[in-house]
Amino acid sequence: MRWRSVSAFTANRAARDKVTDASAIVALICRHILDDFGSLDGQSVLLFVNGLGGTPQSELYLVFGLARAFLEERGVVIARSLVGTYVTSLDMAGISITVTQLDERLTRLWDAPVLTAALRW
Amino acid sequence: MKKFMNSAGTLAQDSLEGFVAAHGDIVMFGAGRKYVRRRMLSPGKVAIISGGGAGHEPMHTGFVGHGMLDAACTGYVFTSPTPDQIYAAIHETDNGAGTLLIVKNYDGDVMNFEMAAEMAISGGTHRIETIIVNDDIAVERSARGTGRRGVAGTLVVEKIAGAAAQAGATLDQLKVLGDAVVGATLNDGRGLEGHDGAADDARDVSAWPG
Repeated sequence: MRWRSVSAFTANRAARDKVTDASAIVALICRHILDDFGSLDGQSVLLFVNGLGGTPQSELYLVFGLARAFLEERGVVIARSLVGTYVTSLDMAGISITVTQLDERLTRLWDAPVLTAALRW
Repeated sequence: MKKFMNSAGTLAQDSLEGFVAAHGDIVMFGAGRKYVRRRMLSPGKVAIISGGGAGHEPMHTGFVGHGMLDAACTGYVFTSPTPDQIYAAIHETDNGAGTLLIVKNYDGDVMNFEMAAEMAISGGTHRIETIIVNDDIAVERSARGTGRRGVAGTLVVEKIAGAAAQAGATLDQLKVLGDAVVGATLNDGRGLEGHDGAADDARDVSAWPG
């Protein structure tokens, strides 16, 4: 299995990643996110695993489990979670991982009732 | 037949017709079928509008409803909605409290939402603020000048800003909040090699824009 970056319309594809299993790609993505944030040690976050349109829910949950474990091992508090196919690129097989730092206020707003076709709670 | 469609030219609109038919309790078309809006707008609430190319569903039409967006403008597949569509949505959903535009950081989207905002502001009757979402660190290394794209983190920005607007936040408060959520959100992703339609690098370039 080869994975490639969905950094789609970049001309330079040198950044393409060659990894062999889901754990490796999840670690690569989560490491990249952690590095960009600086530190998330002790920080509460929303962890959102999104399918790009051609990846089944079973794989999305697999990715979520791996990402959660990776982040928790590094002190991140997964306070909220979302897993599903919400932001797609037609039927592309692939995933994205989104992390949002949450404070009390953002958590309350995330939890607030919503009634849309795609999100409702 | 590889896709359930009648013609490539009508695919996006035909899909929207079905979407509105399926969720008629929540959404309806705006005037001229230019955009999708909440069936029930909340009086005195800041309107929140987003949009982008078709092909990213359920974003954004799937996020129209109580506690999230008031309207969503959809373009052709991977093509930004036009300023005319966006202006219509702004004009018709403004309840007097102003309008917050949530825009993903793509050239076309940013330009067209900006043009629509200028049209609305120059009329003298609308107040507009814009949040640019640029959560995607997958392309940060790109040589392109526009910087990070807006991708899945857009959902988080729209949910949180939508909840605050529903609770009565002002336009100025929503601008500050939306920018803060963008600043607190990062996204990275990978697609699988060899997927149909993306078998080689060059063809992959159509994957996300719009």
